[in-house]
Amino acid sequence: MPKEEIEEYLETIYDLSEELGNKKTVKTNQIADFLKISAASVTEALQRLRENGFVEYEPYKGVSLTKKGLQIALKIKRKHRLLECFLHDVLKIRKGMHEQACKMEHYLSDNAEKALSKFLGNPKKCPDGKEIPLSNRLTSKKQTTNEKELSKDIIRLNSLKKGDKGKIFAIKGNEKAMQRLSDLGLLPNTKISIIAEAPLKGPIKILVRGSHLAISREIANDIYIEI
Amino acid sequence: MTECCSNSNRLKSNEKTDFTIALAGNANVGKSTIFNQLTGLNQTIGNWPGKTVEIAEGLLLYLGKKIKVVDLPGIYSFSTFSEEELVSREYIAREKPDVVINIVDATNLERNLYFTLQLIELNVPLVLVLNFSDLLKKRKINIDKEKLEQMLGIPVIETAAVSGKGIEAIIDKTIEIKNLEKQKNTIKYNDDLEKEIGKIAEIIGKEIKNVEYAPRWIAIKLLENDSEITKIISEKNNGLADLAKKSAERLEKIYNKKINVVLSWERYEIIENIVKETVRIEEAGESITEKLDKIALNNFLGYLLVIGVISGLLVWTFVIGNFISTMIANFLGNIETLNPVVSGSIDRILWNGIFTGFVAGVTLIIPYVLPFYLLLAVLENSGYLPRIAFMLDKMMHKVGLHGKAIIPLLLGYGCNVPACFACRIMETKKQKLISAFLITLVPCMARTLVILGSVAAFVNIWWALAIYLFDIILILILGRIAFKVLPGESVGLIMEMPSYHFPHIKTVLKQTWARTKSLLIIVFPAYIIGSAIIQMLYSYGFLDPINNVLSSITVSWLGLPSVTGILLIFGIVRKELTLLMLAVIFNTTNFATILTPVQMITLALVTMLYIPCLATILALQREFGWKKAIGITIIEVILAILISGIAFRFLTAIGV
Repeated sequence: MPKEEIEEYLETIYDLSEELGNKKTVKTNQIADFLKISAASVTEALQRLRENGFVEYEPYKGVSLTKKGLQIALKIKRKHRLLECFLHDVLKIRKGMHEQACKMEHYLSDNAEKALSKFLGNPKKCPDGKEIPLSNRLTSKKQTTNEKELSKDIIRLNSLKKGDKGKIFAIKGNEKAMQRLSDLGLLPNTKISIIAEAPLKGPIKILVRGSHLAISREIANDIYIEI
Repeated sequence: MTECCSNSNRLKSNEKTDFTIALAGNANVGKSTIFNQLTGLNQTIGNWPGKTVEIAEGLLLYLGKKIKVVDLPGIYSFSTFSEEELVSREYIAREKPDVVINIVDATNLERNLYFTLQLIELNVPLVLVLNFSDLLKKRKINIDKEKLEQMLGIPVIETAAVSGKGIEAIIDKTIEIKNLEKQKNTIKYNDDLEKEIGKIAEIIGKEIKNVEYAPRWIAIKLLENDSEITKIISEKNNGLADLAKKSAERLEKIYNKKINVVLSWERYEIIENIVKETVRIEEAGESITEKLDKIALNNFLGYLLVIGVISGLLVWTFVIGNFISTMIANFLGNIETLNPVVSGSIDRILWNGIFTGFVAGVTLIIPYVLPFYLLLAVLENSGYLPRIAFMLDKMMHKVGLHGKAIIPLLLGYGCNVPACFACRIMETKKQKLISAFLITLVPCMARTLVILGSVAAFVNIWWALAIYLFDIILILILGRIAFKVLPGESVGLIMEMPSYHFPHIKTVLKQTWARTKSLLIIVFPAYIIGSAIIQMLYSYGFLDPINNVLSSITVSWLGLPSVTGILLIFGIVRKELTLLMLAVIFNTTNFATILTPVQMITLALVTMLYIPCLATILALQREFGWKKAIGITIIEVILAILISGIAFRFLTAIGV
């Protein structure tokens, strides 16, 4: 299965599940309708994707993305929406913007993506007002080098382990928590390291600017780290 | 941390003093130690009007001058994250202390100076105090004091508060600063920011009259879209807020970040530069705190320690308390025989009520609460409490609170009244209310006496423990429900984990005393007046009709003797009276002859749950208003009747 096709399928599944209000499973015929191809070929493709560990798929029940699949889908979505921004805001192309981006997204390298994002001033939303996903949300250390490259370096503070170090990339979440975190010096580019983890997914203890802080998992989930 | 249990004395700002200094700084920088070094025993803890935040005041006599020292709450910023932050900045703006003493942890300048920069924005006469300077050598940190003074534009003093080093220097410098015309201490931010700040500040300077804050500070707060300041300014000039909003938008575009982040970032950028120029760290080895935390935060040892410390705290309180209580009771017993109920003339009854109320206060509050507070203050000063909060955070999440709530809950085992005040350490109103509600379900010392004196003594210890366990489960369940039902927001845990310190004895003692004192102010009147009134009512038979009404519940639903209604009415004033009255009415202390084991357990359950005592209701009212205080009371009455009735049937069925 060519890379392009894999990416297109994963992206479609992501889109559909987003449309369905983040309901996880998507039906085969929904995908077929969306891509305008036969249900049989969708089924075949989904089985392949499952073999490669990109999706969880059960005939008749539907398909959902695995972590690995979601990562690729998010990446491609990000590229897609960044390209839309570029076409729309810089080149002022409106007609066929979406189709253009759909094709270009598969050939845009990660470096180019980074550069493009920077060039556009790290936009958060695409011209249609949809959110541009952050570079990567879920990275585990077990991934093959290939995927690591694909999904370089930005992960949630929650996925870091005791002893890990990194730099803050971005913080989102409720205003009060954000204000408190920035008052305590948790800002983009600030170095951060994990000192201890409370058991049972309790809070984590971090070291930031020479002070030790305890923060709960829900807050750590909104802090993105560059490693 | 928990400067709890205040009485609501307004700040005594009218007392004649030569001048006022205010201590400000982050939490855990040794602020209260410095405050206690500066001032004597005559401290008062008062409330800022309308806010549940307290401010301690003390008096300092130095070279013939009378100086008022005010200890502001420990905060990290002047935003509106918490009431403490609002109160601190309002205090500085309205009361205009002559000099503000900013106390910082010398071993952690980077984070501490953030607040210093905000104080500089406020444009008040400022002295910077580097506390814990004795630790600098140990940690091989070198601070260039002169350079720091020069870069910040304010005087810097090194202190080691525990040993008293540098304390006099603070006062000398303060007097010197006070006599200066005007301290010049502006720190310029980058050009983009200054352009927008300058623009807004200029208009404020020209057009806005009668505000307490400096124009530059207002400009910054308007940029940050600070809700309070925006409101105040909009009332005077509604164009300004819009102007600031446009400025903020421009800045957000330039930096591609939220405006608050832009400002925090700029402040930290400046601080990083200052730290780079003034602080040299030769080698950062593992500190003692890090070593201790390896045990305290360990998955196994950490919990062992938490359990050990909490049960140690309770056992210590009980053993010491019991000892002192017996001693005082014996002593007072020699003066006048104690009898909860007497008959005879009205003044005889009244006097007896007053006396027994007084004795109860003396034999219950002081012996049990004092040792509890003492050990708690030691724990607080040592820096261990946040570790307990850290380890138990997950558990507290189950009830919609976070780890910090364990502190007031623990206090509740001593006495519910100060525990309700300690809920102030929670961030949001919702979290404060849930914690207070749960606290009223925690068996305090008085209720513990009832459980031990009946169930443990005449059934067995295991049933007594079962009641405690049941109570904890009940708290978890009700907390969860309250969290779901109550509106409002909850903020997750963001808490500093301070370094461990050896507790400063003087500070510990003073804190213990200040807390006990302010507790007595609430509890004693409630005890004395309550006891007198209720004895009057009882002696003249006014309670009988009430008891007759209640007996349909107490006798037929709860299966208790017909006098229970009277016991429970007495228990509203003081929970331990339920047991004392039982002894008086039946004229025996061998409760096994009057109550079956099932009745004993049921009575203990009712007593534990049915109503917060009078003093606690007053405390709830003070913190949350009458509506909520009565609401909690009613809920608990219903709850106690329901649960105890079911328990009675269940226990009878299994044949206890």
